[in-house]
This record gives sequence, C-alpha cells and structure tokens, in this order.
Amino acid sequence: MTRRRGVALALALACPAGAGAASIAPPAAAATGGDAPPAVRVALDHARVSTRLGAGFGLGSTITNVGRRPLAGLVAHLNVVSLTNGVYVDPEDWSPQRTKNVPALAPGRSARIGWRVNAVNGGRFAVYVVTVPNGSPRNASAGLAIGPPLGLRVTERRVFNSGGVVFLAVGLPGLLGLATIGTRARRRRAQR
Amino acid sequence: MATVAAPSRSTAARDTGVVAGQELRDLWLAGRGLPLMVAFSLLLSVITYLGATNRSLNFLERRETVNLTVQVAVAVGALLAMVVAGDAISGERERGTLESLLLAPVSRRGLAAGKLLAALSLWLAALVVAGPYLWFLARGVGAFTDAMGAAALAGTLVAVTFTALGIVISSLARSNRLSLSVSLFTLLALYTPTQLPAGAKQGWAAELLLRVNPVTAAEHYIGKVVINQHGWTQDAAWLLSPLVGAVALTFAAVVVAPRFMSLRGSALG
Repeated sequence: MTRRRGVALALALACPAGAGAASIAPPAAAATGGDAPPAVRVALDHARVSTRLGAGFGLGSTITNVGRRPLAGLVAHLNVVSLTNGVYVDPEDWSPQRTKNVPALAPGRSARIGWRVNAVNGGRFAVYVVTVPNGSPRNASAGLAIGPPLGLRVTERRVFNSGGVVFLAVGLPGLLGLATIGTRARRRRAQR
Repeated sequence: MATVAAPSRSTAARDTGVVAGQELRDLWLAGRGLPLMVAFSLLLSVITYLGATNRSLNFLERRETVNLTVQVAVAVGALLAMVVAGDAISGERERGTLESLLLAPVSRRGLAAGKLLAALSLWLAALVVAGPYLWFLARGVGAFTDAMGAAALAGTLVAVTFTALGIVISSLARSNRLSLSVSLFTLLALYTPTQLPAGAKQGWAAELLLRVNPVTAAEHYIGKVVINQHGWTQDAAWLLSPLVGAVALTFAAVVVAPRFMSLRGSALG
C-alpha cells in the first residue's frame, strides 16, 4: 500500500458515508437516465420590459405539462440576475414572493402563475422562472424546467443632487439662526 | 394639598388660551424655541447630507434613508417637546415663580393645558422644519407624502404622549433636575427596544411588547408606510398604543396632575 492510499483509507475510515454534515447524491439527470427533455414548459407573458427605478410591474408565467403523465408538487421560482457589471441584486427586494406552488397539471394542461416585480436598481437585468419538482414520485419525470429570460431595462433617475443638498443643509439652519438673532435683537430693542 | 374647584368648560378653555399664548411668546420670542430648532435642523442637515451624497443606495435603501430621517425627526422632536414640558411646572417651582402663577386668576387645569399646548408647539415646529429635508430625500422615490403623513400621524401621537408625561412628572417632582431626569429616563427606556436586532423581535411575546410600547408601535407603523409602501389603514392597529398613551397621559396631565400641583411638589422626590 502506498502512503497516499494509506491516507485515503484512513480518511474513509474516519469519515464514513452518512456520518458527515452533508451527503452527496449523483445529479438527477444521471439518476433518471440521461438528457430526457423536461415534461414541463415555462413561458412568460413578455419578452422585454422597460421601466423606471422604483416602479413595479406584474409578470405572468404559464407552466404547461407537456408530458404524458399528470404532474403534481411542482414549485415555481422567480429569479433576477443583473446583466450590468457591478450592479448587485438582492432578489428578495425585487419580489415579495418568489416561490409559489404550481397546482396539479393533467397532460397538456397549463397553470398561470403571476408575479409582482419591483425595480429596485437601475441597469439591465434578466428575470426568469424555473420549476422544480418537490421530490414526490408523481413528478419525478418533470425535471428542472427553465423559462426564457425576460429582458428588463430599468432607467435610473439621478435626482440625488449632492450639490443641492449643501444649499439645503447649510441654508435652513442658517435661516433659522438668522431668525433667532433677529428675534432676540428686536426684543432687546423693545426692552430699551 | 390644595383643593381645586372644577372650572366650567368655557373658563378652562379661556384659561388655556391665555396661558398658552403667554408660554408661546416666552418660548419662541425670548426662550429656547428657535435655538432648539437651529440645533434640530443641523442634525437633520447632517443626516440628509450623508443620505443624499451616497449615490450607491438602491431604491429600497433610499426609502430606508427617508424612514431613518422620519424616525430621527419624531424622536428628537418628541424629546424637545418633552424637555420643555418637563421644565414647565418644576422649573417655575425652582425659579420661585410658581406661587404667583398659582395665585393668578387661571384654573390649574388651564395652566397645565396651556403649558402642554406651548410645549407641543416645539413638535409642530420640528415637523415643519423636517419637511424640506424629507422632500429632498424622498422626491426621487415618491415617498414624501408617505413620510410626512406618517410623521404627522404617528409622530404627533408619540409627541403628545411624551409631552403630557413631561407635564405629569413636572407637576409631581420637587426639583427640576428630578423632573428632567425621570422624563429622559422614561423616554430612553421606551426607545431602547427599537435598537433590538430583528431576531429578538420575533414571536408573540416580542410582538406584544412592541405593540404595547407606543414608541416601537409608532416606529413600526412609520416603517411599514415609508419603506414597505403600505396603505395608511393597513397597519393602523399599531397606532392603538400611541393613541391610548396620548389620550390617557393628556387626561392625567390636564385633569389629575393639577390636583397635586403645589409649591413643594408632591409624590416625586
């Protein structure tokens, strides 16, 4: 036994499968027999949306069972990805509810799932919906189905004028200070 | 303990008007009103400058900046009104002018109510001063109406609560120092839960405490309206404790505390 094999054997004995914090299974595609197309199709109402920062819009998605068996227990999930370099996306800010359960679908039937999206950052983004089987035997053939991305352009209104804020931040206390001095001077004159 | 004859409603209203007019003149023409507003506006200037010059804030963070400014305006505005109210009776007692006030032909209820109204004028002035700052911060995200409305509604209830509490404590305390320290301690104690981490605010017991405390309840309401863009009535139940606090303490300040108003102070100290 070489030294490397000895170390590997010692590690295997020290950390038997299932005793660690995580267990890893082979990918689902391998388990279900390769590159079979998913039995679900996801479509969106729009291909492109342009909006302004802070505005919200509704987005509809249609989940269709294109397989031959009824499906139940699918979960639809909305995600947002920034296509503009350096723009950070926190998807929770973009939609109040990004995960929804899809009702049971007979072969050839569709379900419509609506989403609310808020434009939180300025830039270009892709919004897409993915369906994930919840692990039940009734949707084992569904696989992971990803819809086409929606191209979203958010125009940013640069209204935070840092030049104007100096005028406000100095002007208002200055005005109140002048009012204080004026009131006191007037009172002193009246007392004389 | 002095006995107080219950004045008629019209006499009490007239007395309140006379006392409030005199107190307002003293506060705004000769007293601390305008210098306090200068200090208040300087504080809001610093917050507004920091918020406005940070261009990396996203839409929600801008609303959070507006919310922070509203919270500071409410907290400091209520504090200013409470400090003036805390000095209202005990200050007169300490300066030796309470005797002449008690001998003046005004009812004690009118005296307390007039001083309460004059102290509340500081909160109204703070709200007016906060307006331009909120407009500047909120104009890009369309939150100005939400911010001003929430500040006017929830902030006024908090300010009335603390100002009336200040009058009650001031009526009872034997010294001005005691009155101001008890008032400030109460205000700080009620503001402390606003600094708890989000995790500590989970669960029914925590929510109950947040709802019962008028400060945390008002803060929650303002946050929901300004940040989450909730409607005015959606979280109106959160305004119950500020409303109860404002009504109960105003009653205590105007009806109960004058019975204990004396030259030496009664219960505290």
